[in-house]
Amino acid sequence: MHYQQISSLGSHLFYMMHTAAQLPEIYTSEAGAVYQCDRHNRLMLSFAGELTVLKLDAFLRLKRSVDKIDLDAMASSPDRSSDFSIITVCGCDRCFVLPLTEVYALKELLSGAKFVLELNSMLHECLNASLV
Amino acid sequence: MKDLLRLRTSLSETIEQILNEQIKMEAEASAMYLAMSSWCDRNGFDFSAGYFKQQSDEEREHMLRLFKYVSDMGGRAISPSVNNIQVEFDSFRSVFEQALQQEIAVTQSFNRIADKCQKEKDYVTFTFLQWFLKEQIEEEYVARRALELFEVIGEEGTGQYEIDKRVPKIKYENEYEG
Ligand SMILES: [Fe+2]
Ligand SMILES: [Fe+2]
Repeated sequence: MHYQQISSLGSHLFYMMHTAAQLPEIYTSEAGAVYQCDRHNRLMLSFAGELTVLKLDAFLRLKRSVDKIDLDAMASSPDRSSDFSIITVCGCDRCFVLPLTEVYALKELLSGAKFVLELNSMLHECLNASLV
Repeated sequence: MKDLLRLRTSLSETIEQILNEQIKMEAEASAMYLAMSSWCDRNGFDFSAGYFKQQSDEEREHMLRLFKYVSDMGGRAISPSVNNIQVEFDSFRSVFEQALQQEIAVTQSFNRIADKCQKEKDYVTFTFLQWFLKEQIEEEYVARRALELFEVIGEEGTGQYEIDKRVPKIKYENEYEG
């Protein structure tokens, strides 16, 4: 196996073992949760019973592609191919195949998490400002 | 908790996006000027062909300047796709009319970006934009003067030839000469 594969497998195992217990969760919903690992600058998405480790870039890409899904079209189309949405993004090794309700839940989870990331950014800015 | 968003880049998502849109606009302007150069070339307007070729090169420089900035700031600079560039133009004059319209659109676009930067309090990008805002004074001036040659010289007789010859000589003076 290639070194990078080994190391990514290694970090996956690391996350699996440490999740939830120690890492700060940034957003939780009924459908899942998003955690932030400050040691590795990664986000972890726990959704539908699976854990996905994401760099911030991949997280933002994932959010963008979920946001782009037309929920109304999915709901109203009689076409069987629109019963599910397939979501794959670069930098995310998980391929999501989701029915409408789960797309909706993932969308809500990701935007909640993104909101907290932005809030955290603002807090940092305020803290920095108050130090001057 | 670390600020991952800010660690990634100092550009907000919105600013990164509008800068990428501007990168695309400059690439399209470059392609458009090249099309104008080609049209002038095959219709016997040699000097104007050279002038538009040079404009095309400048627009690419503008694109790269924006591209480098986005990259330098940790953002994701996107190499733009440029499609469906016009090939034919109605007349010699209409080429210059379109050139001026294009420059006006670019100026307006930079104004909107500057406005957005102020609203987002992104003064780093705002300062970076100053070069472009200043450049647009010159770009619009030259395009407007070129179009005015059609009024001043007139297209009758050897008029078009005279206009063609004068186009590359238009210079913008930074200083006010009394
Ligand atoms: Fe330009
Ligand atoms: Fe220009």
